[in-house]
Amino acid sequence: MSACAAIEIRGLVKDFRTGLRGVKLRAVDGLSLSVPVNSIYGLLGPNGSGKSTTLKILLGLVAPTAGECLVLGCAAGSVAARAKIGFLPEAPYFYRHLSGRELVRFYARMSAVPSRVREGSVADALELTGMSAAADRRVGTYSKGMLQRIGLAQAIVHDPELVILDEPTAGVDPLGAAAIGRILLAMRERGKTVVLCSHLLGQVEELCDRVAILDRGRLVLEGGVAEVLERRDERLLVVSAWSEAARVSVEGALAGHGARLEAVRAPRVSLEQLFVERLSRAEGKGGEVR
Amino acid sequence: MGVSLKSVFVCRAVVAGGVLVVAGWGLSWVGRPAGEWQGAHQPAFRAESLEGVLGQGALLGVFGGFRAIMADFAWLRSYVSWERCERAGCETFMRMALTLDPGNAVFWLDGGYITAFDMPHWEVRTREAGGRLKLDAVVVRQIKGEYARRGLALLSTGAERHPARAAEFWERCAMICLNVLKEPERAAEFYRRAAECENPKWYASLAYANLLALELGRKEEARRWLEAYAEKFRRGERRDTGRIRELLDEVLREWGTATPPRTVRP
Amino acid sequence: MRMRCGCLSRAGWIAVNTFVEAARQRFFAFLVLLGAGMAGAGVYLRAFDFGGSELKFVADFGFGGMFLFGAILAVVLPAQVFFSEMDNRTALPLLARPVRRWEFLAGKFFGVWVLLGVFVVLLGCVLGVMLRLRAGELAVAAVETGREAPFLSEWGLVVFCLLQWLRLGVVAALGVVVCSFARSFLYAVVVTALAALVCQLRGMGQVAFAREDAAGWVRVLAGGAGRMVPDLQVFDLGVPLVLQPGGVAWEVVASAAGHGALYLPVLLGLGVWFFVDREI
Repeated sequence: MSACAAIEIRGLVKDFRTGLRGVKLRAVDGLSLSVPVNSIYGLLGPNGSGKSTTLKILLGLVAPTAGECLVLGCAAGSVAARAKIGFLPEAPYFYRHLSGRELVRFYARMSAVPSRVREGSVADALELTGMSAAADRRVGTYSKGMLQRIGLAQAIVHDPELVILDEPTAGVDPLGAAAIGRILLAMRERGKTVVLCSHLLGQVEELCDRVAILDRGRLVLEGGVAEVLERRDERLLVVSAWSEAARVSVEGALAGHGARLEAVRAPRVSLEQLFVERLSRAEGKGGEVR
Repeated sequence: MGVSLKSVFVCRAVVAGGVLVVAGWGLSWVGRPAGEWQGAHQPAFRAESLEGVLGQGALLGVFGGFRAIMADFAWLRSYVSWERCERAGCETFMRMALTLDPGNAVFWLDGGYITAFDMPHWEVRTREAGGRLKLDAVVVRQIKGEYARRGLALLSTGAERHPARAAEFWERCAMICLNVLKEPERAAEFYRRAAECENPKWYASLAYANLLALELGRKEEARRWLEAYAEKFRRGERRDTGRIRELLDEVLREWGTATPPRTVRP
Repeated sequence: MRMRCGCLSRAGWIAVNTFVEAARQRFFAFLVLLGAGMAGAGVYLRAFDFGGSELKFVADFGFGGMFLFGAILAVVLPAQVFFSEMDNRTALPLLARPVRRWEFLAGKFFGVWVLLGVFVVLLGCVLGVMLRLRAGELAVAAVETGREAPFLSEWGLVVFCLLQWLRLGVVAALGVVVCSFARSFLYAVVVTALAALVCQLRGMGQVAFAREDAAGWVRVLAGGAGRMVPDLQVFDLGVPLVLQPGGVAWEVVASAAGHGALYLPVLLGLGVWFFVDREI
C-alpha cells in the first residue's frame, strides 16, 4: 500500500446472489484504485456502475466477494477504519423527531467524540454547514437542501480524516451547492481527504483533483482531472480583437506547420457560472447561503 | 465460492436450531420448578373436552393463551342466557367456562346450583310449551331429579378440584339433596362432610346435627357427634374462625334440657 | 481527537433514541388506552354478584389486557423500529460509524424493552387501583354478610408485572432475532407472532404429543422441539400471586424469572450472529 493512499482497493469483486437459486449479479468486477490523502477524489459512473456498492464495501456495510480494501491503513469495514470516516449517504433521511442539534450530537456520541469537546464540535459543524439558525428545529421540518447540509454536518462533526459523500448536492440550489463546494475545498486545505460521488459533472470537474469513472463494475478511466480532460493533440487559444484577416493569417501560419484550424467559436461561460456570478453580485461579497 | 443462497440459509437454520436445542436443554433445569407448578395447577388439555364449544370462541382462548379471560367472557355470556331462561345457551357457555378455566371455583359452585335449581324449571316450561300443556307430576319429579344429580356431579367434581373450599361445595350439595331430591339422609351426610372440612360455615355442623335429630330421629347420635365436634374446638385441634365453639356450646346446653332445641336451618 | 471505546454508551444512546422514537408513535398510545380500558372494564362487573371472586374476574381482565396488547406491542415494535431504520436508510450513517452490529441490535432491543416496561407499569397501576378499590368495597360487604374478605396482594401484583415485563422481553427478543434475517416488516411481524404463539403453547403441545401412548419418535421430536423455544406459560402466575393468600413459592417465581432472563442473551446472541454479516 502506498504511504500516501487514504483508500487502497485491489482486485475488488462483489457478487450479489438473487433468489434462492443464487443467480449471481456482479456489481463490482476487479476494481483497483488508490485515493491519495489530502485530495478530493471524484467517483463517477452511470446508475448501476457499482459506485454505491464500492462505497458500502469501504464502509463495512457490505462484505466483498473478493479483493482487498484498506482505508487509512486499516481493513475497510473495521471499527478502526470507520472511526476515521465521515459518511453522507445519497438522499439522506434522518430521525425526524430530533432537532438538528440533537441529531448531530447523537452522531457525535456514536463516533465517540469526548464529552468535553462534543458541544463545541457540534456547534462548529453546524456553523460550517450554515445550519446554526435552524439547528433547534425538528429535522422533520427541514427542506431537502437543509437535510443535505445537516447530513454534511453529521459527517464531519467528529473531524474525520476521510469524508465520503454520495451525491452531496442533489436537490440543493446552485448557491447551496456552491457553499458545499467551498466547504469541501476548505476541508482539503485542512488536510482531509474527500471522496465525492456525484452526477453533477460540472461540480466534480471544478472541485476534484482526481476522478475515476466506473461502468458496469469496472474501472474505465482514472487520473487527475486536468490530465484526463486534456485533448493531447489540440490546444485552445483565446484571442481578443479577432477579425477575418486575422483568421486567414492564422490559417496560413498553421498550414506551414502541418496544423489545421478546425473551428472558430466565441468562448462561453457555463450557465452555472453565470448564475452564481450574477446572484453573488446581487447579494454582496461572499454570497449568503439561504 | 459457488455456495448457493439456499445452502447458506439451510446451514444457518440448522446451526440456529442446534443452538436453541442446546440452550433449551441447558435452561430446562432453570425452568423446571415453574413448569412443574404449571403442570400441577393447570389442567391437562384434551381436544375432545372442547368439542361442541370450539365455535364459540374457545379456539381464541386455547390458541391465544387467554383461557382465563375467555372463560370469564363465557361465564358472563352464560349469565345472559340465565336471564333469558335459555337452558341450552346457559349450559353450553357454562361448560365452555368450566373447560377453559376449571380453576375458578365460582364456575363450579354457581354452575352446580343453576343446574340443580334453575334448569329443571326451564326444562319443564319448555316441555309445557309455555303453559299450553301440563306435565305429569311424576315427569316433573324425574326432570328435577335428573338435573339435581347433574348439579351434584358438578359440585362433587368442583370439590375435588378445590379442596380448600370443599366445605362450600358440600353445603350446596346438602341444599340440593334437601330441597330438590328431598333426601335428608344424603343432605345430612353432605353437611357432615362440610363440617369436617377446613373453614366450614358456622351452621354446617348444626345443620347436620339437626337433620340427624329432627328429620332422621337419631338425636343421641347427633348429640354424641356434636359433643365430639365441640371437643375438637375446645382442645384447639380445629381453628375457630367464627364463634363456632360458642354456638356449639350453646346448642349442647339446650340439648341437655327436655325441650327440643330451636330449629336451626340455614 | 482521542476516541474512547464506549460500547455500552453507544448501545445505550441507540436505546434512548429507539425508546423516544417508539414512544412517539400513536400505535403505542392506542394500545395503552385499549389495555387500560380492558383493565378498567372490570368496574362493570359490580352488576354481577360474584362476591370475592369478582376480584378474579377484574384481575383476569387486567392480566389479559396486559398480555394481549403487550404481546402485540412486543411483536410489532421491534419490527417497526428495525425496518424504519432499514427502509429509511437511517441505519447507513449509523452503521458507517464505529458502531458494532451487536451495539445496534442491543440498542434496538433495550429501547423497545424499556418501552414495554412503561406499558406494563401503566397497566399495572390501573389494575392495582381497580383491584384495591374493589377489594375495599368487597371487604366491607363481606363483614356485613359474614363472608370472608377477599385477599389482595399489591406486592404480588408488582412481582407479576415484573414477570410480564420479562415475558414481553422474551417476545421482543424473538422479534429481534427474526428481524435480523427478515427482509420485510410484514414477514417479521407474522413470523414473530407465530413464534410467540408456539412459545405460549409449548407446554400444552408437549403434554399433547409427549404422552406415554405416543410413538417413541414422536415423543423425542416433541421433547426436542419443545425445548427449542422458551415456555411463556411459566409466567402465568397472576392469580396465585395476587389473589391467593398462599401465593406462589419463591422457587417457582425465581424459576420463571430465570427461564426468561437466561433466554434473553441466547436469543439476542442468535440475532447478532444473523445480523453481523447482513448486507445493509
